[in-house]
Amino acid sequence: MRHMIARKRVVIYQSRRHLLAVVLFLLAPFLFLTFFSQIAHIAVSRLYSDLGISMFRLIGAYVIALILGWTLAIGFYKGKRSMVALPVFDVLQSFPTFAILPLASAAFGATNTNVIFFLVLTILWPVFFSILSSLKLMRHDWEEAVEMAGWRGFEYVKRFLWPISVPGLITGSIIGLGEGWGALVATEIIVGVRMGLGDFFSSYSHNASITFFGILGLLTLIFSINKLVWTPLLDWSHRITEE
Amino acid sequence: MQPLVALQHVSKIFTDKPGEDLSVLERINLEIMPGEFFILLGPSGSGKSTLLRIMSGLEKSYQGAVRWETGVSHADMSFVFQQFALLPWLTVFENAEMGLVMRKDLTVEQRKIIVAKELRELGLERFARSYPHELSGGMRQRVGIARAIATNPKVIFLDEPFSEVDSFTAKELRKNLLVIWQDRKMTVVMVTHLIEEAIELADRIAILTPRPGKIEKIIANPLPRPRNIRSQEAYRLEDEIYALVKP
Repeated sequence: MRHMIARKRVVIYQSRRHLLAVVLFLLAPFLFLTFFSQIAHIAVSRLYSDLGISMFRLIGAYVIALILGWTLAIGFYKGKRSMVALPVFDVLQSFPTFAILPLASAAFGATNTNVIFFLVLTILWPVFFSILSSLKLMRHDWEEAVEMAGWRGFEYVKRFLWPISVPGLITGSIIGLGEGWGALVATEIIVGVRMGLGDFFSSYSHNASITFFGILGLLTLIFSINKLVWTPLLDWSHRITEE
Repeated sequence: MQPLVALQHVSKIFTDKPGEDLSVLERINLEIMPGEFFILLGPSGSGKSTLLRIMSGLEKSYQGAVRWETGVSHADMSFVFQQFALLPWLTVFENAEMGLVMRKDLTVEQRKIIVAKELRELGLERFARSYPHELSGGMRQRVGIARAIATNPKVIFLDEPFSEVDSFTAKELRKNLLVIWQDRKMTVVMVTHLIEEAIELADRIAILTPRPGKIEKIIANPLPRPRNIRSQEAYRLEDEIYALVKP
């Protein structure tokens, strides 16, 4: 049964109906923003630039958190190092990140660096712990098979650790980016950076309908990204480690 | 003749929690000759898989000594796992190629030729591009065997290799294994809990006691090959072994 479901999913991503759905999902947020700009009498360029700059900050932070999280997980998933480091990481991830926002603001000011720094702290831990979980749950006899095959160094990481870490990386990305979107707007408002969704929402905070439609537009975008990028990736990642 | 490997006073204690030691192997002394088909037989928990792992180098913490004949290194050993241990993101071909990937003396082309030959020998050539989840249990274990023999090892370890497949497939796989062993003159060390399997395959059978595992007796199998495991001699040997194996 599981096998049949997996096969059906593969077909879905090749069908004409699905391609049409993909195009619609892709267009939906942009159509919505254009329509929204007309009824709210806001320049389309303002909407797109605010959204673009916020996405730039989020994607920048995500890439940094991904590289850092994956490297840390690979470095500390087993052995004596993990026994020492994991409790430390656990404490760090439990730390309320907003508490260091004033300190970060004092250090970086109202800049992109400050927003990105804060977002990295938000996205890093879900990514790290999800990858860690994937690595820790690997079958012991896979490790033994690889040891017998003599894989070492770069080949070991590329051919063995990387594929095992992919499902965790994708799950962590979904959770991390979910938290990242929430933190993004809040951080932009608190830090007071110019441009971006935070600036947009604080400029129109007096107008309930613009705020409402703005949030609706943002949700449409997040939903589209989720359906277009993350859901297929999540399916794929589970398929490659399925026995 | 010099033994290929000699185990001297090998013991193994697992310590999961402080103060809770679990002795699984006690003072094992054993010699295995080059080209021999040697079987470790015993009930569950007798430490036979642990002993196999110690010999293969997968288990590094133990007391005693494992001495290999000069010139035998880890690269000369292969392992066939009970639950196949195929990497699900690799194709059949790539799984069979695993042991050759780090070999600097082989070109990609040479690797391909070796793997294709092994897959052909085990009837897997049509499945080279398939993934493990698309194969039956028997086919997966064929891939496990192809992976093990592709490196042309001097010794091959098998940990209950046929316990996850049905009896008909197990019979076929045992035939395949015997052909490979006879053709290539490699040493085979295998773990099983099935007396009939041991009688069909082994030159010598080491019977282990329940935990902590000790060598109860090593029996030479006098039956001529090809073996008829329904012969009177086979039944007599089965009775002799059965009397020695304690549950």
